[in-house]
Amino acid sequence: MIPREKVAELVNAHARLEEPTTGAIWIRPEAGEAWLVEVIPSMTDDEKAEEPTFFNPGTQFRFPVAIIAGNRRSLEAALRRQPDLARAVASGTVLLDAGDASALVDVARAVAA
Amino acid sequence: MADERLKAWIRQARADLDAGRREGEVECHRRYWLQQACEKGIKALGQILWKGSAADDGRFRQHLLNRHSPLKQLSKEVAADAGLPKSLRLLLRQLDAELGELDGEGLLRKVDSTTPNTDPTDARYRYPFRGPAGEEVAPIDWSSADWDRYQGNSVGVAAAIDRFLRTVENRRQRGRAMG
Repeated sequence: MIPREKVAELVNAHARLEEPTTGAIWIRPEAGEAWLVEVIPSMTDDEKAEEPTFFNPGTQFRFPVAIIAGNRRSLEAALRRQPDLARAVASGTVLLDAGDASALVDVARAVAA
Repeated sequence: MADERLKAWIRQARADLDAGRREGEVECHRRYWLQQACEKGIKALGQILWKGSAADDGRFRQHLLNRHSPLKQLSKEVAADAGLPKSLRLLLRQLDAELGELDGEGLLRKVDSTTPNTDPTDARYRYPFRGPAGEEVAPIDWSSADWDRYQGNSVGVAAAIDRFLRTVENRRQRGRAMG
């Protein structure tokens, strides 16, 4: 399992970018990759927001990553389309929240219920 | 095969850095090689991180490996082209996140933004260009201070690239051990 503080470091780095991540939920902590659902408000609407993008380990963040990224609206729609993803988000760990991560978890819980 | 290719990129970046540090070369030539070393290091890191689909591989090569100033160019293209694959948008973020950690002073990003180009009004490493007052400048006319203003202090830039290439090489070796 990837240590939580390492995943949080990556999320914090994404939050410092020019187009920052404003919400991040760590899901599937048992996986070999760090699975992150990230709210990036600057991203355009995406009908396939649930599709993960994978990266190999880097020089500073030394673990593989799977990122499900989108703006809040696209991610909410993705949760409604994908109950498995909604369940993962509902039981995930919020690592960053400028208001939109907790809102996303609320949607996930409603879908997963 | 992928590791051999990556090794070749890092080897060439290291050779460019050595050329950029060589005593007796004129400043503009040294600066050109420093820029090239930095560019190849960033492209090597991009190849390490990249795990996009086979369908996106061509776009990865087109938008990162085949570009001067890969960070600056990809950043522009991400802003201008909504149709660019999401994997490339997120790759730029991963690269920026990595560099944010290991390039606190922003030297690598500054060097990345100095592109060998064809615009006659932009500073160029190898061809004459037009200075701020409209004067014709040959790159060899510029003093070290001029190049420092454009690209950053040469000793600091070379040291930053050296550290960067070591870090990328270490990551390559670690990946090989894991793989």
